[in-house]
Amino acid sequence: MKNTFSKLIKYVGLTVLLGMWSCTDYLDQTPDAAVSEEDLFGTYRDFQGFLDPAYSLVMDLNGHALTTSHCIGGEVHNSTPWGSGARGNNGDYLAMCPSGATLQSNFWCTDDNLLGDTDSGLWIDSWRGIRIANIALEKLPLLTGATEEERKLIEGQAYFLRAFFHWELIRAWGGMPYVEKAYSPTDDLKLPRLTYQQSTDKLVEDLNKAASLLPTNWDNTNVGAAAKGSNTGRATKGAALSLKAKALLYAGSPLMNKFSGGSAEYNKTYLEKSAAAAWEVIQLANQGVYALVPWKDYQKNFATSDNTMPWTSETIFEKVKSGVGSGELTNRLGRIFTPVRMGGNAVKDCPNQAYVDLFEMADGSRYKEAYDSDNNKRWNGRDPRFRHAICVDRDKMGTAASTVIELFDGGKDRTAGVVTPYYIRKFWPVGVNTIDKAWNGFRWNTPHLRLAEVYLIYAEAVSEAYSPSSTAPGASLTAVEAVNIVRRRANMPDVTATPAGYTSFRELLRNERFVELCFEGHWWYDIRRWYVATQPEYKLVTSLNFDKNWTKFTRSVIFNRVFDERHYWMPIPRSQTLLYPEFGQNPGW
Amino acid sequence: MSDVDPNQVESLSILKDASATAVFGVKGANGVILITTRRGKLGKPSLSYNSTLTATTLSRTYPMLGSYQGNLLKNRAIENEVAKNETSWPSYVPYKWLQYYQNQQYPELFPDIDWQDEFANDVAWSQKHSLDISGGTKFVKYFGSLSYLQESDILATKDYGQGYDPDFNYKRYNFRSNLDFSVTPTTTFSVNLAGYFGRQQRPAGDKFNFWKGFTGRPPDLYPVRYSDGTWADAAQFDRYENAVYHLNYGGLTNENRSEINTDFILKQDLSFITEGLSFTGSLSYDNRFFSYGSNISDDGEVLKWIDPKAVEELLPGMTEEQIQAVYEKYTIYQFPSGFNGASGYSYVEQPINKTTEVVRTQESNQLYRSLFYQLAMNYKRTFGSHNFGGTFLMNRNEKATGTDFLTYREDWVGRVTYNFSSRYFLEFNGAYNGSEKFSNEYRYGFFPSVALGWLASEEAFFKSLFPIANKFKVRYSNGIVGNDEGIRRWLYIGNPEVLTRTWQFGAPFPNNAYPWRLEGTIANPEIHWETAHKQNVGVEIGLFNSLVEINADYFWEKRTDMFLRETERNIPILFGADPVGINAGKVNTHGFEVDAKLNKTFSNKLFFSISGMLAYAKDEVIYREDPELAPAYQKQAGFQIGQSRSLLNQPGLIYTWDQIYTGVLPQNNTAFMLPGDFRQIDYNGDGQINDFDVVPYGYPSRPQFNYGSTLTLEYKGLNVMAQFFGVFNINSAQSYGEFGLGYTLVRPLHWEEAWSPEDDRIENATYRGLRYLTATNAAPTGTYYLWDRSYLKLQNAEIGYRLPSKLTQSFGLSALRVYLNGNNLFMISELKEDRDVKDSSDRAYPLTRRYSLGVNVVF
Repeated sequence: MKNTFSKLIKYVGLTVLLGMWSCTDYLDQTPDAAVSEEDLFGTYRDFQGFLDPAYSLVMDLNGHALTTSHCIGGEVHNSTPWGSGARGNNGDYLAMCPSGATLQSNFWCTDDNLLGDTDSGLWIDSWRGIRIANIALEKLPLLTGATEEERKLIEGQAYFLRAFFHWELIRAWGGMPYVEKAYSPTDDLKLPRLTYQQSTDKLVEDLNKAASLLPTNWDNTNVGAAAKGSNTGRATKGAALSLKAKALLYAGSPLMNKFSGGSAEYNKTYLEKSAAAAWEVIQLANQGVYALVPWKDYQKNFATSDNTMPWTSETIFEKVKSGVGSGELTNRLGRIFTPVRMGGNAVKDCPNQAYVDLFEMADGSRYKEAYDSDNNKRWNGRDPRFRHAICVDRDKMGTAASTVIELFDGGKDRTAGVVTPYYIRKFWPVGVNTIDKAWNGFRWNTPHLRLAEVYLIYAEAVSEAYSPSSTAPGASLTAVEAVNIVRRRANMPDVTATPAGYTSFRELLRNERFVELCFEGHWWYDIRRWYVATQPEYKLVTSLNFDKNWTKFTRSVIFNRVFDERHYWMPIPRSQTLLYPEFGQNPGW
Repeated sequence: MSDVDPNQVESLSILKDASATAVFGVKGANGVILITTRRGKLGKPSLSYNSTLTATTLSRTYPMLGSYQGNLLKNRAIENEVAKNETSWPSYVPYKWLQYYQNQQYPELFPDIDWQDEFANDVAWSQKHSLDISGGTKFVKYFGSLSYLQESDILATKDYGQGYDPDFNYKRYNFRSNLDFSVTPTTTFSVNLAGYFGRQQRPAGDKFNFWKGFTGRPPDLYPVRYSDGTWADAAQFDRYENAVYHLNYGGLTNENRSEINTDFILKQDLSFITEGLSFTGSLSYDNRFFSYGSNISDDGEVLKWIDPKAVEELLPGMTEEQIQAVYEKYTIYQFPSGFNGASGYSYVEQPINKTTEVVRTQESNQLYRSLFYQLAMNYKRTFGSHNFGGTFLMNRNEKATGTDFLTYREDWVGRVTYNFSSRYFLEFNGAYNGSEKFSNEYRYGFFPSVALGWLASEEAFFKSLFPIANKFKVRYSNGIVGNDEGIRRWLYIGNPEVLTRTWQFGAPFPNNAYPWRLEGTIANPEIHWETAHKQNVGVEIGLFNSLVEINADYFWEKRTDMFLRETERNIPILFGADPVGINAGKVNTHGFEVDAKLNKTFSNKLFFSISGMLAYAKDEVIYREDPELAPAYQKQAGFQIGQSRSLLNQPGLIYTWDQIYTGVLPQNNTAFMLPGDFRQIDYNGDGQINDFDVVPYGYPSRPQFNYGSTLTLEYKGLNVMAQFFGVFNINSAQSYGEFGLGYTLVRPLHWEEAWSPEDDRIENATYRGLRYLTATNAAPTGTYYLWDRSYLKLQNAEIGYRLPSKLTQSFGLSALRVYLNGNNLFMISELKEDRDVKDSSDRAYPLTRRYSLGVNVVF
């Protein structure tokens, strides 16, 4: 027994031991499910699946993360120190995203992945989007199982997205390298920053290519026909042209001209190109591709409560969000714009009285401070867009009796953190609140580009490059008429090239932008590009106090905004500016 | 390791140097803790029973100030900042309300809650029982153990009528059976079977709501419960919901964990081939299983909150009914989710829901299995004064957690030892380790080591030279160890992903949306082994016939090719994806360890022992891919890992408005500077305080020095033991900011140390003026919250008594011992609270102090 057993051990043991030497592939355990390049780029379905994550990186300018809006230019104030409105007004751009504030991750966070891959803020996510677009363009030859139309759709979207993300970066952080390659880890990545206008020239090239490749309406393509009505949010020819007009208008604006080596004045060369691009979009509208919605449907541009996507004939490009229902109020919109009592949270972006004053009277005359005590003029008899965008005392936001808003001193909705007696209601339909709970179909979006803005882009480019009464070469629309198209839809009277109550057409046009595009993430960019943000009128945050019975109204300045020369550009994350000299910090940071 | 029953442990040793850890392969790269479990010995069965009862209390905590002091400070903070921040003013607390907080006239409107008191018990009880048997015959030696542990938690739970008590408790049954069979005179076969079954019951309520810690809660939001029995809470307090309510009304969950470890070990003496040769083969299979349930889910109750504004309508002489009517007017109700108040139906309390045991995705992701097998040839033989030894082994390990692909590992190790008449020692090791994390080219690494030793005290000349020394040994080892821990799998081939997720365009959504494809992890085919080159020199000294024993070691280590994770890299952002992890880091470490022990048994059987230990380790980053343009003082290279860095404060505070504008200002929040703020040093002299002024300051967040001492005294059946442990040269930040998110959150330091213009605090305050809403806009606090984390603790103390054997035998027992043990009994430190260094959030579990009473019986 002993011998047999020992021999067994001896031979089995040694055989096994020696046998092990030969199994060198024991550790070669590549998973069977490894993904090949063909799996990613072989067919249209795969390739589009590769591009689609880039659309998720587009940001809704109010709906990013939980507690931040894009209102950082003084149109609102916010008493909550971590709110973006407060940080913006403090000029505290280095702390827009306090470290570790994972739930308050916002547009300006420059940390990676605070809320997952698609929620890292404009800085990181834009660079990510650019990489996706570049990989798509490089891998296009692998797309063998696709029709010519499908190939063009992929290529056109890739060019659009590459331009879009570069534009999101430069308009906040200034000129950037134009990245046209999906770099490998071993490549030299030390690309120098370009000027703002050089960056714009590059992205306009991409947009020209996108415009020539993309359809005006996806529903009319073979690919899109399969999902008719469900192609909103994809890049189109109109989106490429509108973005081109907007990017050129920005590049021709005083701030951008100054930082591209010129003076702090409009650059007519860029404006002329902008006007021409805007005119192309307006011609698409004239052909029926786009149309301003009638006033009664105005809110559908921004919010709905019937489960339809807030997307209209006027919408040209926006981030189409899948979120729907009560969570969009209690976790998203409510955390910035609505009263605590009705589903909001402690972070309140309250409109500045100075901004409220910009809304004209219904007859087109300007608001006067003396009207504060006039119950018929203060909030009534105003531009209809005022009460559409802003909610005032005694507004009923739902069906139940208790949905009447109380914003007088001591009122239920004028709690300690509510610093002015106003709430933003542009994105907040009646009935969507914790009292009525008519919110199952609630959706809201902030448009990136809509037709009304294109008219205003056209008006600004034409009036500054030529004159208010001129048209772009070959066009049949004057700047004044473009503004009037926008005003007429809101039932506001027409204006002339020398509008009453304004020192210039420029002043009127700027006011029109504030009013028509309010709270859609424009103001901060606009007052910067016009190079006026340091002027005193953009610094005061004013509030209004009054009693329950509306007998005494008192104004007071509640905050002096900080906006110095350096605030014209966002600071680049310091870790990036220390890598190589050609990627320098913006002035003052 | 926390589920190992200490009663089953025979010995525990820590191996660090490269030579000692070689046989453990890559697993030993950072040192090895070797646990040997008890085994049977030849002899009659011996049965013993051990039982302990433990009381746990909280160690040092740092509670918030009460409502009155808190609101007084809130007003002071508002007064400080209102000139710069008018929006704080509406939060000012009227004088009358302050008085209510103080005199507690209306405790329901102006509460003063001590949360630690409300949801922590004073003591939590645990108990443990174990029964061991060991013994052996010629054929089989056996050790068996069964134990039961029951632990409860300090959280105060109770059945208030919700129908269950969501008491935290953990019950664990451990078993072990170690059997050694002598199959033939040259063959032993061992079977070890061990495992445990644990069932943890805990409150299922949203942890976020009650896990803000015992001390991190405002005292003045609401009473815990109103006099009518309704629990208090309101939606606007969503950062600080009623912890007691959420703890007790969130249902309860159970988690069941079980683990089985099986080892089969065959030892065969192969002397018939050549003397001294033997073979060991072993196979281990470990399996861990988790399940969830049975559970109770509860949607909670109706909650309410009475706005303190109600007090303004209370008039003297009101009846109780009138008062309640006023309260009702100011009451906000909150219903469990799902109840729609507008529907016109009144709320009906829903019954609690019970669910049975299940394995959900969360648990199946924790299922763990591991298969390990090892084949080893050993050789040991003496030829006169020459002692040879050798080991050659190979092992493989495959394991997986949840649904992961199995991970594989393979190690080959050879060891040769030689000593000449137990005086000169020599040892060579060679490890050939394989890791699946690297491409074929880099997969295997060869890691050799050598160790030398000289037992000088065995030399004749030594004995005559140093007669007092009975032992003197000098050791030296030098070796290379490989490491692949922390390196991501599949990095060498990249990891593109195909998802089922889609992005939806428009509404209604098409069914043919495009599932996402992601570039995923970008490959680094060059990824390879990290290596550590370790050297160690040591002496072992015994004096006066081992009355005094001293061991001393000095070690130094160079780590190269250290893996830099994607988050640790600095590359231009325009790459557009997470950077790729690379082997690039370099760190050097050196340090020493000394321990000395004095043992003395006196003639009257008094045994006395005292030992002391001091260990020092300091590392230095040699390379870490620091940004090229960063100033030298901000690079990591040249400093320790975890070096504390801070803005530096100038002495004193800013006392006047003049001083604000005549000194250097922060780059941010300049407009919010107030008298009372800290002022920092403009280190780089660029005229402003910003990130460039953050400099290395103090020590790293891991201690440079550990020290300890153990005292033992035994006399007849009595023993006394005390064990001290301490650290020093350690700094880390722990801030206690005031009025977080606008809540009344202030601690004693804000009361005692904050600057204020109104009293003698103008000149001798050490903390800046308080802020209410603008705390984050104040000038930075610099080094104020950087604590010296040195401490000295009485880690363990025990007093025990073994009854005289005459007495115990009269009960029919071989031995009986009772003991009282204390753990973490006191701490000397400037720290405000005793807590784990790593977690600085309010949610960190406070450390505890334990007192145990135990009895040990041998039958």
